[in-house]
Amino acid sequence: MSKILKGFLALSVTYWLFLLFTNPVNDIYYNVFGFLLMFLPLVGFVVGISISKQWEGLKSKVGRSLIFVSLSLLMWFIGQSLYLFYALKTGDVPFPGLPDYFFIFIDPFYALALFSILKYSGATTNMKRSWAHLVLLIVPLFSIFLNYQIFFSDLEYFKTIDPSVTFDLIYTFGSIVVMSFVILTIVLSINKLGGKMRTALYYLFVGIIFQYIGDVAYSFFEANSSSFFSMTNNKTGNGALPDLLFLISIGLIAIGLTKFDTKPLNDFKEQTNAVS
Amino acid sequence: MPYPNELFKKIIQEQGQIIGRKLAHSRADYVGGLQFKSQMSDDVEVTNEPKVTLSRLISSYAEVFGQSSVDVCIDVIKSLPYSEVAQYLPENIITQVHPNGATR
Repeated sequence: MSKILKGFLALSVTYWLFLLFTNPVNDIYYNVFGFLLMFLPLVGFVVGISISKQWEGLKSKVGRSLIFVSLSLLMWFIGQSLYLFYALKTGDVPFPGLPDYFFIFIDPFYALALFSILKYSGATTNMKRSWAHLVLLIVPLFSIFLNYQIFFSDLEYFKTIDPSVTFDLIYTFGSIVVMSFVILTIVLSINKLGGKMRTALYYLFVGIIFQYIGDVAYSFFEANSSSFFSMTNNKTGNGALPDLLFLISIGLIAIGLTKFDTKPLNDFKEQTNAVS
Repeated sequence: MPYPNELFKKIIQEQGQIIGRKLAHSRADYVGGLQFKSQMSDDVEVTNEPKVTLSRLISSYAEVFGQSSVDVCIDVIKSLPYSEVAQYLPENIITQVHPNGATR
């Protein structure tokens, strides 16, 4: 399954480059990318839920983290499906609209997953060390500062709090929490995390980082309509650079979920029974 | 439950909370030298040399998440009276439980 997903991801990136360089006039080419972005999280969700059963689902910390990641992908799938429905039926997607009521849950579920991972990745052991206290203080503050600079540097913005501003604030708060958690987990577990499941976790971490980069790119695109990577013939909301980044994020996370397969851990013939 | 059985039971239980009971048991079974009272129970009897069995058990869990899995075992050992468990601990684990323990 991991190889299929890698192939799918590679083909999708190639297709995006095709869109960028050929700049087709027909909307359908861009909408196809929107459908890829709808299909991939659904596959990831099914894979994640199925693999989480191998870890006994909610009964174990690993199982719980996989379920939360899968639920994030489910929110992606539902949100993107509704987005496409609006985009294709009316040509205009409201903000905040029905898709946002699902997209808004992506970050909280990632945060819950990372909170579980924090507990079994070795990060909590390092938290007892003095250098970790500094990391625990600096990372959230840095995250708040960075997100404020990226998303809300203009104070005028806060003068009128309407639904769109409320949603923006919730999205940003989610980004701050997820970014803090992912950096904390990586830094605090760096000398502890190993074994056969390390690669799987790193796929998840990098995938979540790409989600954040996608959010930043989305914000940048909203503010600067004419940018380097824009497709001049693209009149749809699909296939822009942030969509590519989101697709890479979801692809990496889905691949990471497949790598949580416990088969290598149960294949005792291949394992060395090292007595240290 | 007398030591060292209690020590093994607690380590397997703690690992079960992280990776699931089934996987925690199967890795303990793979190590050998451990006899579960029943499939539904974490109660276990050590049938082999405890030091070797404990070293193998910890190495087996380390294959899942590396040193972070080892730390889980170390925390369990630390939660038990050192005087009771010290005789069952392999040398490399003693140094992790008590950095100066190897010289005792």
